[in-house]
Amino acid sequence: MNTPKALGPDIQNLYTYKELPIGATSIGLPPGRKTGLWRYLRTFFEEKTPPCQDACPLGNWIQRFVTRLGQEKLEDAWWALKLENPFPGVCGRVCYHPCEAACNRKELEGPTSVQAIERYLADHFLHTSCTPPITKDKQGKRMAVVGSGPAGLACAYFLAVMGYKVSVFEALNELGGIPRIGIPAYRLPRHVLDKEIADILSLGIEVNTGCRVGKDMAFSRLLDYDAVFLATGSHMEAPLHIPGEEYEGVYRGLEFLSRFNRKESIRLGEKILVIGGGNVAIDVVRTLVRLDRQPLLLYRRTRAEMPAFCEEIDEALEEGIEMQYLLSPVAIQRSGHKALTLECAKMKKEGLGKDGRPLVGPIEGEYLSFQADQIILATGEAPDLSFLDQGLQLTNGLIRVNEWGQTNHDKVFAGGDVIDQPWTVSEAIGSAKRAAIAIDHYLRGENLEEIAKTGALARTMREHLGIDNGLPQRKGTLASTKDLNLAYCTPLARRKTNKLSHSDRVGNFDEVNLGMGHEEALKETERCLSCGVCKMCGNCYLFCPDAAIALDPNIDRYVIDYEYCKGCGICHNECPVGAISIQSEGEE
Amino acid sequence: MLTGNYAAAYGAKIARVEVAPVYPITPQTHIMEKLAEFVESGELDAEFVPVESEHSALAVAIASQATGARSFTATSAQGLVYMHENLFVASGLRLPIVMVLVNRALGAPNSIYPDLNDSLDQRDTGWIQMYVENAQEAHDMIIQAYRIAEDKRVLLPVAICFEGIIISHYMEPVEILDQQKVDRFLPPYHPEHVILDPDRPMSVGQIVMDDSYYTEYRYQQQEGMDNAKVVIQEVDEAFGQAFGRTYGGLISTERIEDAEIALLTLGSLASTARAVVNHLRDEKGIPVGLVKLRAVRPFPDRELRECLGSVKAVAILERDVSLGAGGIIYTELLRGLQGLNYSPRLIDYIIGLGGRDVTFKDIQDIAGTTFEERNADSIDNPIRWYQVRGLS
Repeated sequence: MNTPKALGPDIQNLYTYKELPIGATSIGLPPGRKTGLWRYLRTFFEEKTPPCQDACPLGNWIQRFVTRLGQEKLEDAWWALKLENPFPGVCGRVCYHPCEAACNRKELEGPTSVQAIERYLADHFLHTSCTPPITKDKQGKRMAVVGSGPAGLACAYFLAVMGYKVSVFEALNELGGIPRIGIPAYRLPRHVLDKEIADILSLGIEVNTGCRVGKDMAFSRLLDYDAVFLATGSHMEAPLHIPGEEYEGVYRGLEFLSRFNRKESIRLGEKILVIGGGNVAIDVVRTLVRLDRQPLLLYRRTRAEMPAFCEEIDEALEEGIEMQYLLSPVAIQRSGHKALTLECAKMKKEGLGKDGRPLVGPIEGEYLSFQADQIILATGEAPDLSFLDQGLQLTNGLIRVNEWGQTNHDKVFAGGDVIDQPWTVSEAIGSAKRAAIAIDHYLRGENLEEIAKTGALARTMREHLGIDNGLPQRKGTLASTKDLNLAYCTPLARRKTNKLSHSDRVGNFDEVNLGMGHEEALKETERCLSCGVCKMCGNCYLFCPDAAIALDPNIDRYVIDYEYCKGCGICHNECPVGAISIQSEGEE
Repeated sequence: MLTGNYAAAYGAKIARVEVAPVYPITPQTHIMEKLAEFVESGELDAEFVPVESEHSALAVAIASQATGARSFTATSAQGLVYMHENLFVASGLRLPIVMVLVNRALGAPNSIYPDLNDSLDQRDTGWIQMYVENAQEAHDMIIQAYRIAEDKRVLLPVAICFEGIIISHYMEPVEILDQQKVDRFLPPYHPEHVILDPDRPMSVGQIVMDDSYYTEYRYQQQEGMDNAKVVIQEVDEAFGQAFGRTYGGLISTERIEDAEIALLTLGSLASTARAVVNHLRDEKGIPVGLVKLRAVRPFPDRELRECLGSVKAVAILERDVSLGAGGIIYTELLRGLQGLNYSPRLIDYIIGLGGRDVTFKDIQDIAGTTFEERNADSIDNPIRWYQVRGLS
């Protein structure tokens, strides 16, 4: 038997047929075998941004934690989540989940339940104390954070992870901001908030409660720190400027929630009117339902224009709350001992405003009166920035900041509800993250303008800390369904989250949304299309006709061997997630 | 009692095939189904690979055989012609795959009944082709085929061909060979020439440039075919010693020694023709003999010359035609008998196409005509389409 030997046209001394191996085998590689020489198209791994991660105000590592959970690597999933968000239990409950609105799966059977998955992970690790490792020591640089809501504590967390010494100053006696005093427990059980705050504090953060800057401590003392982050939130409830709003029995929405959540006693009659259409108004009426009251909600526009989250309004209606629209309060009168009368102007729609929302105006001479024992005005809040000093610039009553949260005072940054952005928990944490990353650059003496100009200013912790071991990414390219090969997508209906029945919601503050169990959450992860991000399915390896794609065990990634890739493009077509691009050879 | 298809499936099972990629096609499908059952039930320790086409079936068999796994597949008619290009790859890479070809007439017009054009058309692809006449022979020949194919002097793929419906679907008594005896007769396949092994990288079937080795590799295959003539004979004898049955190797004959005329055929027609020969000899005293062609590739030139050198006329009964030339076996025989001092008259009967029944009487009539023509000076119209309606 003739054994294989190196064969090729380059061989000078040709073998006889008897000397040749049987079956045209060769141990060597004649040049013609290097099929890479044939290539005029080049495929290459290039990840795109999943729309969920792009839509998330925190830039959460959604694809990663969903995929890792799907692989039952719960610890990995947890770290991918917690690295970017110190409040997964809070966001898993109260975030308005723009990730799901952006999810490509919405074009199929409905978006992946990212929020329920996030919450599942947070609940799974509810009794596990965990903090990420502190990445580097910053040689004693000290940070001050004013305010302990989601923005303040998140900024403290991110900075502490980056090795800074952080002191938090909180005016109230408890940490937590709006989630502590505003959001009702049936939406956010307090033990979840407590646990996540405890995790943050365990990084060694110094806490000063009952310390209102501008009153208990001079603003100028903040400037002794190397940098300052202002996140005092929006707690001031502006007057409506109608007669009678100062009467006893008339409350402000946030004031009511805050007093109730801090267990102060409030005497409530039977007839309660709630004015407003935002999240605070909805929280107030749903709180009242749980106190066995039937409040009436009045709103000056219509249901469609209510700024509250749609799901919250739905749940309020499910709970039997009556809402009347196109009614604007004009005066409160006292009628008898403690009874109040609210007079409202009837409103009508008057075209669209500049922001696209319908404008409303009063119908002349048409009024409606309502009797009430209490009236709760939940018509909006504004930040109280009277404590500011040192010439900090404001715009429209909000602290003016640039895109990374820096004020006109170099070492002072701001985020959350004191800056011009949507006032939500996730936007607050997102602004804190942007600021924390900018503060890190600032404290290292780097020029933020320059870094931002070159596109090197990271939006996420994984980018900033360089711990995303993903494939090269084309920045700013969103993965759309056109990038995906949906032939690999198995139809799977969106899981429904479990909810407390309506009858079980009265007389207690038990959590309404019960989330998902382990099996349901795992099943839901299968719905993630992993848009634009390699999920190591191995399709490229299986399909490559030249066996030119292989797993490199050193980096745990698939790599293309261009000596053999002949540019057929099959991997590009068969990649379910669109993480393989194709272009002409030589094209940049 | 087994159908020819089940007999073949049992043959593959006791040959302990390790990989079976098969795509269904009538009249072969039972083989695939039975193999799938064997694998499912654990009776056969093999990878059953459902593929999306016959082209892929053979591609998988090529790849699996190249890793050193004994591979088996089966097909018919359109499936076989769809495999065509891979047939060359299998033989060119010297991979001893065994494939059962259940003969079926090619469309159009569409047919599910047999003739031999599908397999005979593949005679130039470098495969050994053997034709069998019943279910038992089909069963036995799969065992023989692996031993022939894997012989280091041969290393070529083997096709075992039998007619669809007539053999594939009708039940006959079949003795399934004893597994222990088969294991002694057919040891496991351990290739030394081609083996895909990640730990010992080897490129297989690589390009050879115009003036390097293409001719030499083709000549190696020719040498394998030449050796196969010897090996087929040896294996049949060894089979006889192991199992008490032989088939004659490249050809088998019936009462040919003193015959004046011969019937030459292949496949199931041989059974009918044998009965005709015995009848004419015993009842009518006509000196007729039978030659059953078993191997078409390699073509048994020498063996045919030896047994036909003294007959006066040969009637070739064949279910196939090379349009524009004549019966394929007839044209092969014209070449094969070249060089005899005395050449018999050859009369070609194209018969039974598309599964048309060929009766005892048909063959008896042909033998009678041949006997009358045995001394003719010249044969008028030597290529005869038998019983074409409207053709006088």
